[in-house]
Amino acid sequence: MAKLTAHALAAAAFLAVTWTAAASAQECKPEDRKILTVWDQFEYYGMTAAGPAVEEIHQAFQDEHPCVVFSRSVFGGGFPIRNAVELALTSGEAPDVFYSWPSGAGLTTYANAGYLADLTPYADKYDWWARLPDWAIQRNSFKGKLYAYPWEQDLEYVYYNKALFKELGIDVPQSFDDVLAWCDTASAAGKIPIALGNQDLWPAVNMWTDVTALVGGRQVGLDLLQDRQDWNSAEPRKALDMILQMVEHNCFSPGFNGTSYNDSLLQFYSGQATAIWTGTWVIHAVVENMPEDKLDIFYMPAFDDEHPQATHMSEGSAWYIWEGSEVKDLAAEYIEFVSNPKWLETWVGKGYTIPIQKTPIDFKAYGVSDLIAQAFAKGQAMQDRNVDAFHTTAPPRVTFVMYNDIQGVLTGETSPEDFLSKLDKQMEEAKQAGEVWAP
Amino acid sequence: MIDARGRLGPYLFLAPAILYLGIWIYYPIAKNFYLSFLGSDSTRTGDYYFVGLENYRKLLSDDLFHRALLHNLAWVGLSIVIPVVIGLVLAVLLVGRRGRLFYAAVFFLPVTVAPIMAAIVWGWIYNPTFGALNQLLDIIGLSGLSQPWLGDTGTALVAVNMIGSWGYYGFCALIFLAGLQSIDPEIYEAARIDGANSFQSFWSITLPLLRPTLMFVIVYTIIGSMKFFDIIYVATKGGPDNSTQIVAVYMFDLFIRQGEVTYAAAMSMVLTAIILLMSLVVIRNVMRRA
Repeated sequence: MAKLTAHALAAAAFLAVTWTAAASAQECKPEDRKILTVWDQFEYYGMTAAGPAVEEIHQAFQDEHPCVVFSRSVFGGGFPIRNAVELALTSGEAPDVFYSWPSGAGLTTYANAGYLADLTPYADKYDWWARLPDWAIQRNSFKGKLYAYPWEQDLEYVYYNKALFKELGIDVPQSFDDVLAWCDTASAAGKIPIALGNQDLWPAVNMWTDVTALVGGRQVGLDLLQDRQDWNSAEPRKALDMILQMVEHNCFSPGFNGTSYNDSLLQFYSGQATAIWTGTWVIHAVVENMPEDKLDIFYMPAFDDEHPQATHMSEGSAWYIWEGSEVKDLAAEYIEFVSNPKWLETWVGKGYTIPIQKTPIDFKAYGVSDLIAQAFAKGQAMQDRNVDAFHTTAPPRVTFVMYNDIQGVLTGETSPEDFLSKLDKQMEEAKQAGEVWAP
Repeated sequence: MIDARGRLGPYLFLAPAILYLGIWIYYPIAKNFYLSFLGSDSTRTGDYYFVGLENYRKLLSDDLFHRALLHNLAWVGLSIVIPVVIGLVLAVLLVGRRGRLFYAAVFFLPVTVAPIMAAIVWGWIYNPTFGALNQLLDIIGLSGLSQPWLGDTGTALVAVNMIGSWGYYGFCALIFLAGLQSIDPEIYEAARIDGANSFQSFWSITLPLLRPTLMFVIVYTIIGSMKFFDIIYVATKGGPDNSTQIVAVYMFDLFIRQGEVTYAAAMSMVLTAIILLMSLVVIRNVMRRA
């Protein structure tokens, strides 16, 4: 009897599954049944902690496209996603859509090698031009064609402990001399003026980019990155000299080349450091780890009389479509769906992700704190003066030298001239290999 | 029929292993060797053409490769001098004593820690501002010796090697202990009756009889040191100022980040050749003495 019951149950289950499958098949026409593979980096923690927000948007996309089998993989932000995409593209088996970095020269080499789909027709179709500012379009274009949809806004500024500033009698600096005075006061009081964890190689390059923006402006950055100006030239050199002056004034964490980026954040959270010079990509973590009454931000002031306040900017990552994808239209529809302004509230309010937009975002409407609103609003207001992030825009072989050799410059073991000349040499090789950013 | 099956039998048993090695080891090596003779005008286009020895010629003028190779050789030296010697001393002290298995297990514990975790935790120990090492130096009145251990070009390579050594000496001790236990105690007894002291016993009995074990550990150390990657990649990323840059880390950047696939292939072939050469020299030398 028990055996009979088991057989009956198995048969019923088989029929139920068959019926469901048949019903699904009836609902979906063969031409509508598609598989869309997406790789992104929206985790539940860390720098791109927009996981819950993204899942909500994905579910809505799935609801609108019931016949699409949606295959999503989440990679760690930063290098894990980039390394995975590199291997996938060069092995000829990549996802339809991937959310990765860097643009500029990185995008140039991929587009030049034919790995990326031209998104220009989709930008026309969905009028992405109306949404994206020119600088972001430039960073994601190669020879006049758009190859990626830039997403998160990256800007760099100073997070500071306003309680410590008050305690030590330090005011928000209004000039480079003020910055040096802040360093003198804080270090004399036994505090680290600016937490710097340059073991991760990129933080000092970002700082150098910011100072180049402050002493050169946007055009200098474009000329450097598009090989119209030598790296061994006045503005990048002046920027390095200013950073070296800051090193002399003990502005940064002791042994900064042996301190990781995460540890520098801990120095700031714990009150060992009065400030940390970093960016929007970590705003979620900073807001969570610092009490509201202690935390504030400011952009570095104008460093000389000739140039206004500026910083560096870029997209944290961008949406790409693989040229080999068999569902490019669907992939573009997906990018349009997730980037549509109707999801701004979800991205901004729940995902702590601020998309790059031509029109300023009404942060208050999304319940974002004043601090976050201030950080983005001020940085975006300076976009005509900001420089593109060196390390995410320069050719990878140039970035490799920037990363490794700037450590020696900061400790006085490599001269600025040698460093800058080496960058020029790498840039020359990059040019020959077709790697220089050519929007 | 039986003869044929008898002749084929061993090969059939070996076939799965040969197939596995062929697919995952020998084919990639052959493909890599082939790639090392190719080049292209543009990065990542895949439009490769034959360039002969061009990639190998480029290696001759690549200062960073030379520097990285020197760091690898220094790493080999440090890894032989520190964990191998410590492991040998510990094994000699433990052999024949009660509780040796307990101590061997204690020494072996760091081997079970994932190298990446070890690198992260040691990174905290070495941290210039809150690290335990500098704090310890302060407590014992040696604050003058405090350093940014991983951030100073003069100390970084040795400091990061200490992380590797910490995770390796227990392995050496265990292998040496196994080797020492296979030496007949009567030989030591006879030597003692003949008037040999502990050092003479060690020098004239232990070392010669331990030679095969020693050879294994040294060759294993050389191979491991030359292809070392994980701890340096996590702890210093080759910095500061390339002072811990080793060939595998440099190669990884060339291959994955810079798209210099064929140049990285040539570099890996040279590294493989050096590892083989060094291993052969050691094996031959030890075999001859044996």
